[in-house]
Amino acid sequence: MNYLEIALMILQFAALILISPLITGIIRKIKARMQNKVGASIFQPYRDLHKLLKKESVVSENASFFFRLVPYISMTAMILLAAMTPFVYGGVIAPYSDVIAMVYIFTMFRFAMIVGGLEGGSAFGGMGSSREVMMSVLIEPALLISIMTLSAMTGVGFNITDISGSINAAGAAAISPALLLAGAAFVITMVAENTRVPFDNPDTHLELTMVHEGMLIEYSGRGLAMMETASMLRLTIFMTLLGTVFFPWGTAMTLSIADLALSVAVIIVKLLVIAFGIALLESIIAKMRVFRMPNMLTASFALSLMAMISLYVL
Amino acid sequence: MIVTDTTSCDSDLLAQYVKTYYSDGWRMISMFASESYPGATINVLLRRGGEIMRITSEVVDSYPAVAAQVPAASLFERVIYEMNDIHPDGHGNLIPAIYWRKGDGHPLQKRPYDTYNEIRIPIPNNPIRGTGVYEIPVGPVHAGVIEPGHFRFSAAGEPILHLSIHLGYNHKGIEKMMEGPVSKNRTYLAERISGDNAVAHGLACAHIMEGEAEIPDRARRIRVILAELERIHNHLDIVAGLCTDSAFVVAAAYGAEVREELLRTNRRIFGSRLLMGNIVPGGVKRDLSDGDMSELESAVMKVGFGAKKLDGYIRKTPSIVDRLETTGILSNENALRYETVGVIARASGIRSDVRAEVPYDAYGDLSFSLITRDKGDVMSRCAVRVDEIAESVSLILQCLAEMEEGEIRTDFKTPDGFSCGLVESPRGELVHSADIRDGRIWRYNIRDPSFVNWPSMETAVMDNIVPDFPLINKSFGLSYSGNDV
Repeated sequence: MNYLEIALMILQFAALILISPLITGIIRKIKARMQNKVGASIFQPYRDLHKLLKKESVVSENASFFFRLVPYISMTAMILLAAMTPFVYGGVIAPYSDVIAMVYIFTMFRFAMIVGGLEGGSAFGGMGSSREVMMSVLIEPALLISIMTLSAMTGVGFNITDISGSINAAGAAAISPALLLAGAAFVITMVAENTRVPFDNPDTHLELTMVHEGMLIEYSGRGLAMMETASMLRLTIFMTLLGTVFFPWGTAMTLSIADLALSVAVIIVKLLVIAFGIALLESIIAKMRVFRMPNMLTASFALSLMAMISLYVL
Repeated sequence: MIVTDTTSCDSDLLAQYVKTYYSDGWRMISMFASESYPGATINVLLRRGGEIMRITSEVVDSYPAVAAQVPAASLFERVIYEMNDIHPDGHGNLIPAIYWRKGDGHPLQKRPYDTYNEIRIPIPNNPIRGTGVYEIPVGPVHAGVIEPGHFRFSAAGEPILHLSIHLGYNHKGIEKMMEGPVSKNRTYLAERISGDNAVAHGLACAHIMEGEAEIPDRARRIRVILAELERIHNHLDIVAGLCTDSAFVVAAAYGAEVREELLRTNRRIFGSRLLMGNIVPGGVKRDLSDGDMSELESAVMKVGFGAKKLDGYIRKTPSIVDRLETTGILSNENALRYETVGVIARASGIRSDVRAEVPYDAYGDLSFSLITRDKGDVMSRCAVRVDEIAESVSLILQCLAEMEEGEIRTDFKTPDGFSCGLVESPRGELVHSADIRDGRIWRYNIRDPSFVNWPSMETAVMDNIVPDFPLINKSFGLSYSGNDV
């Protein structure tokens, strides 16, 4: 590993964090355009975060020290994950980018958020938390198995860089039922984990239906800014993982300028396509009933299980 | 509208009287106390089809509760107790009707009372206890820009076991403000009882003020146009709101766009987006030019197509149909038992519509069909609204087609005595009634359809899950301001 490579990896790590509000802004813009609305600027999330950072943070008198800790835990978890995610260049700065660790760092974030939702002592936070727990119980195995399928398929162990590199090197030969099924399962978990429609409505402020917003309801000022950033970052990381691990073709494996330039172009196209897909999905379907969520998530689990089985059967 | 029949009875027999009429097919539409200091008169208004009956009874400070015999009186008697300090003995459920009121007096009494002691009444806990049962208090301040109301759910997990609705945060004292000499124009104030039903409230008030005066044909038709325009924008708002609440954003945006176009047309033609200031006693304020009429014609036709398209969006999307169907079922029996009115009753299979039963203004000369559904779920209420938009469009087109030249206002004299104004507001049967003595309004009572419909929601949400409540609430589309007057 030379200094150039390290600098590049630090650069892509920083870039991933910095573009995450932009991705959210782009999805909102596309959704607004689909509704025949002008929509806010794609840079609006940056302005919102800037505004929140300047504001005072109000903490419920029922909350313990953990309430204040939650935003920091969330940010830490997401920054760690950003360091583990291949972005423009196949290598990552984090030395142990283990896929199982990644899944559980996501869980750590979720755990912190659930406890934070309960800490405020409001009914809505509790309701949001209880729904999130119900969903996460079902998301976790699906996510884990879909990523493990890749590991089993490539046979290179659990390091995300190795998995990504191996699929990338195999080229079109890597396209198999297992990859596609695992990819489909991952897409469903991406939508569910990021509490998008049809699992939750990210734009809602109806107290009784909120899941993600319900857990954030007691946060304000800097705390809210950090929680929002962590959520945006989570979405961006999921989208990037889909683009660089499940379908990594085009991601640079060498340090040549041509490869890197191509990789930048390819990842921008991939992210835009996924953003468009999410916005389209959110525009054409309504939010499902809370009790239908397990069905959808079970479908995702079944897909990932089929992916795993197809490795050995086909 | 003058009441067809009046009876009076001893206060001890009032409950028995009302019950006897009930068994004869009459239904209570309003009940209030008109204070004579000392003592008061309890007025009970009953309706059967097009007949309206008033039962009066002199009381001093208490009387045997009618609610003990006829449950429909329960709500009205709570208000009577709070406003006039007349105790209905044996009522059994005298919880406050207004949760935050100014002063500890009884506002509708004729004697002065102290307005400076603000009192805040604590909201009782739900009576449900058990393992895993918890209470969710919601409101009166909500996350969105909606009216204030407190909802208290008892839930075990997601299913709702019990809901109690506590309203009254919007009490404005309009009934008291309505009192005074009859020469004062009250429609202006009536329109502000519930802003989205401005025309309906204005009309009900105008009907009282006009007495028996003959309203010119042209004015009567313009009134129908106004009332139906109001129905369209209310219904569109609710159908689009159902889409918003279930995160079906594209249809919601489309519905909002169709409604906005209509509101802008209202602004251009009638000078007010919500049609305020158009109804005056004796006629209407603004005449329609030929240009206005053709503009209106194309505007409502466009809205009709828009509503149909919006309905298509909903019906062709399985995910939203799944949300709306079988949610918040108000069975026919419950709808009858709670004496619901308007869209909610019609969606549960009850054929009731003031426009057809007690025709006012030009409704007697126009043809329209009564829309009903029988499932009583959110989808039925949505479907009734969509179909009623089409009926309203047809009514407006009929009025425009047969519009004759003529006056739009006439002189009138408000008669002394008791009179009431019935109107089918977009929410249902709206009743205003006034006790006029010596050229002064002595007591003015407003009964918005929301007032009688709110309790039925407590049963419609049973066994539904908490996240479906916003949809059920939206599909009922009730007014908080109209309820609290």
